[in-house]
Amino acid sequence: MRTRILLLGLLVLTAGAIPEARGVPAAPRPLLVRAARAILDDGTELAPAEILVEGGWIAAVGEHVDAPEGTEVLDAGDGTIFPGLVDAHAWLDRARELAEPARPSTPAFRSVDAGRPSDAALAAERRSGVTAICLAPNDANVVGGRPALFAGDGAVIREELGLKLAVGGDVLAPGRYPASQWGALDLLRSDPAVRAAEQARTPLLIRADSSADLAAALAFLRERPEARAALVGAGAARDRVAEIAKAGAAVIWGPASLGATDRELALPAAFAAAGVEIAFATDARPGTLRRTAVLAHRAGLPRAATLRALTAGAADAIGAGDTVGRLAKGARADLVVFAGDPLDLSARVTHVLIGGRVVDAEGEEGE
Amino acid sequence: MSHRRRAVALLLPLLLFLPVLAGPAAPPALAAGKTFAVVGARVLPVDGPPIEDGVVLIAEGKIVAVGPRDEVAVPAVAEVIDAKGLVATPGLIDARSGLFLGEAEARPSSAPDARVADGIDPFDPDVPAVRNAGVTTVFLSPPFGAGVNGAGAAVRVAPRIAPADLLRPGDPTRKASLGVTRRGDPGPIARIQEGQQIAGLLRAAEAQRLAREKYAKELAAYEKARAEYEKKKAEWQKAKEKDPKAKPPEEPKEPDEPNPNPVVDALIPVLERKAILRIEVHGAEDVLAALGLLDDFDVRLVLEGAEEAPRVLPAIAAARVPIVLGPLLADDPEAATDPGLPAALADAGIDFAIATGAAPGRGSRLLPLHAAAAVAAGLSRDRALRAITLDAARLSGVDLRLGSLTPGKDADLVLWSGDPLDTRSRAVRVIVAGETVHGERP
Repeated sequence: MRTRILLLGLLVLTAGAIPEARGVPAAPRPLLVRAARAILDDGTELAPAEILVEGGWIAAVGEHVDAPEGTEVLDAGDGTIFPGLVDAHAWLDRARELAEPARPSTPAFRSVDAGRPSDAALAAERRSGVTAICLAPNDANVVGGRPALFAGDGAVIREELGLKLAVGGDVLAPGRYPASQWGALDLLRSDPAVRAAEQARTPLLIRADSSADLAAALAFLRERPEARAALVGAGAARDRVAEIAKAGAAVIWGPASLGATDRELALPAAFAAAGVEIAFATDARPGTLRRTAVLAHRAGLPRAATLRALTAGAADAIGAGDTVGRLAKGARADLVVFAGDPLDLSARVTHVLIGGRVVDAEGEEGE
Repeated sequence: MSHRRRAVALLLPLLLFLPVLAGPAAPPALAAGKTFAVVGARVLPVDGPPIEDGVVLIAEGKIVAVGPRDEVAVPAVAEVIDAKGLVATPGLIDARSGLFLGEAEARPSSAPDARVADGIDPFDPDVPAVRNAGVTTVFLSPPFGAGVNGAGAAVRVAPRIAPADLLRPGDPTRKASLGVTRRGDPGPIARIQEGQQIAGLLRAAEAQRLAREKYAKELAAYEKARAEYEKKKAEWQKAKEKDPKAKPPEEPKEPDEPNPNPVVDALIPVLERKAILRIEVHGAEDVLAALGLLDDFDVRLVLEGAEEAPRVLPAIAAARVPIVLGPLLADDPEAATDPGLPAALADAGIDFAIATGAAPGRGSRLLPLHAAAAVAAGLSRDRALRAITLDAARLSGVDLRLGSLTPGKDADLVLWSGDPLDTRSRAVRVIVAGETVHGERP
């Protein structure tokens, strides 16, 4: 008996050792999450569903999986297990700290240095099912710096994740450089950090909202066929969907305004039809990711594409697809349980698991 | 109105109808007055339990019968709408909306005799989006402003906006605000002043009402006395021929009519409990100040907003004052009401409607999403549906005509592809006063 406990402890320790190095705290015991169904990132369903979590990582997914002795069981009853949602572009409540507006370019800026997001903003994200947040530099710099990937509990999953750029909007300030779109392009072309990111094929997240911004971003991408890019915002992209598809760029869309017209909300559907990878963003509105997805879905974005954009699509767009956004062996054990369907806003989030640990979804109120 | 504008005014309703009339593939446009039966839906009447495989029978724009298929006889003349697999609910009612109102109408108002109905733009381009989302009636509250702000209006989101579509031409509510202008403008003084302003107007209205009552009595007495006087006068005139010294009868004095005062008169229906007094409040202390009016005045009070209600739940419950809540969703998270508030009010026994708020635009089309947010935060589905139908009708003063699938009420109903509060569901068919105003091709 004693030997078995020792052995088990040793197993847990070794299992925990590697993930810990990759930013996941070791979970004390294997955990089996069980529910009436699970929906995978591509929309396929498992019913019933069991997910085995070991050391903060998903070890097995299936209708029934073999769990080692001593495994803790979390029975989510009639709930629906879904990969934790991935917020592909967020400032939470730190929009001010994530910019250095006095300088046009801050390539060495790192979002992770802007400090831990507030508990209230993180709780708002968790309540909507978000477990991974790409905290991005603000839109005030042509080369904004490096986003960071935070877990829904505030832990850092990746300190650096691609490079944030902007070609228009806030970066064009009269009286400073650049004052024009081609000035911004000039800066982008000459910045060594941008070139390094291209070569490393880390994603360039390019803020481009207006038609002129999109034209500039697409012109830049035409010069850099090797670059991996995601256009952030892309609100005026109605007439450029085909061009964006051709450039092979993903689009990080949102947050959707409640006052948006059906035509505006139908943009993600147009992207999906053209084969453009979609992700959703919350910018300065934490807790609105699921709502944005639902509005896009109601305006015609197919179910499977909506679910993917909330999870694996977002993870791929920001270059974190190997870690978050999937219910699959080897992925981080970040998952949520809904009391219903992920695209039904009347179905609340009942459980949130981050790095294999059950985290309080309801914030201070408790479960 | 110029000739051109009039031409547009006449044409627009036709244009709005075109999608329904066009092509043989579209569902038949039901003429008003026709008899038809919605058959096979899961019917949620709101004022009763759900009916599986139900029938809603409609004639002359009114609901005639509601019940299970084997209990409701469908007359042979009735056109049958097959609604198998769909869910039927009353048309949704947004108890506080900004539809039909432009930015100009959203400016603060402090004119008690103003009527929001006078500011309606029937050609608001957002009307089709709202109607097609299953919201068939919106309640428009006058914008806030210090004191009393005017009369609200319940308006049908019908393709043809006519005076008849003001569901209660007699202005079902009066609106006041307490402490709202204080936002960003600190201090309890403003609240006290606004409270005194409302109370002062109500007191003046009470005095006016009493004066009118008194005048009505005096007038009746005068008219009686006058008739008697005329009789006596005739007798006297006859008598005078014989006896020139006969005394003439005394002419009765006509009572003075109280001077009409539109500002004060506007509040008399509130004191007669014919109109609801809606007071927009936000802070807990403003809620208490509004409830304090009930000590002095017997009025049908409804609060709008009341985001800080959780701090004063017992007081609200004791006063039995309902609340028009919302918006539960807003672009700026700070501007949204806590989605947990409806569940908290339900637990405390307080009635409420869920509304999308007064911002101009097409916000009302997301009314079911606001209710869904309340469900996710713990409110029961039944109660959430009631909060956007029957309870919304009550707090807007139109529950005798709308808000539930009840025989005798207007035939406003929506057929949904699934549960109305499941945000994946769509309004497949929208029927207003017995006419299909939105229908998907089969």
